[in-house]
Amino acid sequence: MIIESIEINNFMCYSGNNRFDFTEGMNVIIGDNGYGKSKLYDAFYWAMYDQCFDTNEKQWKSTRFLGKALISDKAITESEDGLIRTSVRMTLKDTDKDRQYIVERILKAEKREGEVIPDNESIQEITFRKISGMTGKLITNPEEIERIKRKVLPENIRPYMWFQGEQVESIIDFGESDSLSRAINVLSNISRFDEVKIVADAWAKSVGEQYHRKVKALSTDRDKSDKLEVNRNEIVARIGLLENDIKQCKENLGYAEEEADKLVNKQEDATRIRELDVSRKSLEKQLEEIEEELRYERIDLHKKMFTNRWVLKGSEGLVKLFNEKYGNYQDEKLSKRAEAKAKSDAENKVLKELQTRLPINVPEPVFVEKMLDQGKCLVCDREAKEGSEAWNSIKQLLDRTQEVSQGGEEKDQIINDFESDFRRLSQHGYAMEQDIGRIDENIVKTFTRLDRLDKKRRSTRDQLDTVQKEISNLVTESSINPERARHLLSELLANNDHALRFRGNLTRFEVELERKQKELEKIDKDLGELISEDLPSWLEEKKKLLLDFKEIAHSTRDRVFKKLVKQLEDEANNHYHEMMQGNLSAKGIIKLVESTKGNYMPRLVDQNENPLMQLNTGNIILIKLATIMAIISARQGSRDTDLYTLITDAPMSVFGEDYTIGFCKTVSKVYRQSIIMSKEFYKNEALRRQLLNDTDINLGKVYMITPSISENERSNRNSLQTLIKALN
Amino acid sequence: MEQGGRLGTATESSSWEQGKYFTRRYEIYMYAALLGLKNDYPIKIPKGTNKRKFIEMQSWQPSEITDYIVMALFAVSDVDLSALENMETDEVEKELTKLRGLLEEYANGGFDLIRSKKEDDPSYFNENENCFLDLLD
Repeated sequence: MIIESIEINNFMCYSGNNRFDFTEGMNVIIGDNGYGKSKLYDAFYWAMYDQCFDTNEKQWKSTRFLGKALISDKAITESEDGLIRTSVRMTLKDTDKDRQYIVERILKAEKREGEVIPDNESIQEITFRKISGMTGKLITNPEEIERIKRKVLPENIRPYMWFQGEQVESIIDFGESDSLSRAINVLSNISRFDEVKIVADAWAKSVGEQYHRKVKALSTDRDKSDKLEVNRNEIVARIGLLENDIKQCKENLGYAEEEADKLVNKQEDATRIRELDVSRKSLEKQLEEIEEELRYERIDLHKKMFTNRWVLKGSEGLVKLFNEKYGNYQDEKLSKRAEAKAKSDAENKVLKELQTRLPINVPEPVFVEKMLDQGKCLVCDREAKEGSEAWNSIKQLLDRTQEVSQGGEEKDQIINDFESDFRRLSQHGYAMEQDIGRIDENIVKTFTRLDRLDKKRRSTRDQLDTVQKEISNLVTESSINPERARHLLSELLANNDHALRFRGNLTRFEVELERKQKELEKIDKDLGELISEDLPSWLEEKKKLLLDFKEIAHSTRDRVFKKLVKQLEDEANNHYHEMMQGNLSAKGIIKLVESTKGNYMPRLVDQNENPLMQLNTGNIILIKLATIMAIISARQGSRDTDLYTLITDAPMSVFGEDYTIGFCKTVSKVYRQSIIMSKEFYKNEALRRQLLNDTDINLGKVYMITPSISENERSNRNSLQTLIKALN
Repeated sequence: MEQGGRLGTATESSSWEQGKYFTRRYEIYMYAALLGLKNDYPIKIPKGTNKRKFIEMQSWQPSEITDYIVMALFAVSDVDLSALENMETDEVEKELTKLRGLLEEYANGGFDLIRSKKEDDPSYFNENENCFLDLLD
């Protein structure tokens, strides 16, 4: 069955009517992260199984839980009140039988006063038609629908044909020990050999019991044979228990070995995660410190407007202006003072002239006043009556003293003295002028420091982003979180302890089983010796034949299975090496190793069959993909691989671009039709050209999908639609 | 005013995070006055305009900037320093009131420069972290 087309209407980011046509070969849908690749994968899955994979919660969800999330936001925004129809329609063609099947799933929703209410359930419709006839028939019988769906893709092979990149690891889960055996069972006819084995075991058991009953019946010593029988029953019961214990023990041991294998394989990733986590913590601390410093600097920066007087930038002119004014004031003041001094000097000169005989204050004014009071000169003892010439001369001595002292302390003739205030303003202006001259330098210095810090912050943040991204990729790929990565080594050691204990128990049980089996043989021999006549030859023959049959059934099953495993191993290695072509690093050989409990596990070994340890997740996924492909290609030419289409979303995302072309070549060789969603070809144009031109790739249709709204405007998805462009 | 003068009780450390350039109301007033003074751009305040009082000038910090503003006001005013010394107290008061009026006119001018910058380039104060510093150039 080939998928001819898918039509997607108003489903998630595919608003309106969208259509992809497909042909045989490898069909590729190219788009960056978030462009709608996974939604296309969801469309296929939803149309068939009414489910979509929730990548956040890592689980499948049905329409009932998805509801409105299935409907395009654009359709919701733009439609009037009434019905909104979301549908996905897949057209499949059975080329051998001239038949076409149309599988369509529809979800109806009603918009009422802006509110959208989807139906609880979606409807699936399958139409069958003969291509030549062109008339279709809607199939309504549920059993018939299920039968057709099984034809499109049987349930048991679904995980190997339709999967998402992030599911690859769980498809062949090394922890789930029998998954490879299960895959072999699904895709081979080995289960028929198992059925034969079961029949052979049952027949061998039944003939054994028949033989034993006959031996008992022919016994000559009933007491002895009864005793032996009691003993025998005890031993048989013990053997049963031991076999059970051994089975249990092998299972536990197998599990522990597989777990150890898985843990060893994860050690490299765990070590890297641990290292990255340490570096993440240190970068976070650094970033915190830088941001704190930067924050402080920025707060300080704004304060500097005043503390560093940046606010005065370029205002020197005001200082000059004030100083001119202050200069004038001072000049005026000085000239007034000079004027006053000149006046006072002139007056003093006159007075000086008056002073002929005695210097000023001689005699002292107190004596002068006494002389005036007594009316006589105390120097020459002559009379000087008040008002007389002599008295007036004495008085002049006193007046002269007062005038001279007044002239010595001359004051400005003003009401308010602001001189000291103006002087302070002027001096302050001068001081500020000096600071203003240094403002530009100070600003440059501050900003250089800020710039340096900002650069440091950005580079630290970039480093942190890179580390976090790497951690998150590693965590997704390896399913180990940083917490578990820290304890992985102790987990491994504990696991090895368990394995050791199980191995010890197993040896003990096996030794005891061997002993008990010998005891049983002896009892059977003793019982055989007690019989009176020969056992019927037909019974002897029957017993021999059926025991031989049992042995043959077991060995054949094992031989066929081993052959299958070898074939798978060869196929897996072919695919693995084809996919590895682009990469020159050491690769190793895939070996399907039988585990203690009889299951097979893919392992990577070197030329000498020594296991290669410390594989990264990319390697492990390549091994798994190679093994899946081997299971498919080993059956090439049989109906399964020709009939079913591989649909996979981002299968290459984990192992890098080096392997992309190798993967495409292998896929196009193994699967008759495949539909691959990939981002690898989006940014790397050279790789895209190679895809379109490499003749080793059996290429079908190639499409490029892009969103109508750029990524940074994606918060509003109300007008989001997906643009589809065919590249060939 | 939107970017720098958003009024409120931001502490020094939170003011930057809130996008404020000035922590206190009088700071933007000082800034505007100096901007007006530097550019010699006074705008008269029409009589009867409703004025609101805020913290008195002598409490403005730092006091050196306040003194500088006072110096600048004397510089640009027509007050005669010598004449001031010969005035009676009530006349001196009148002159000082005139100086206060002048401060208001220059601050008004400064705010007008900020407003016209915002009108010319509406994103100037929202997108440029150092807008108030750049405006001094």
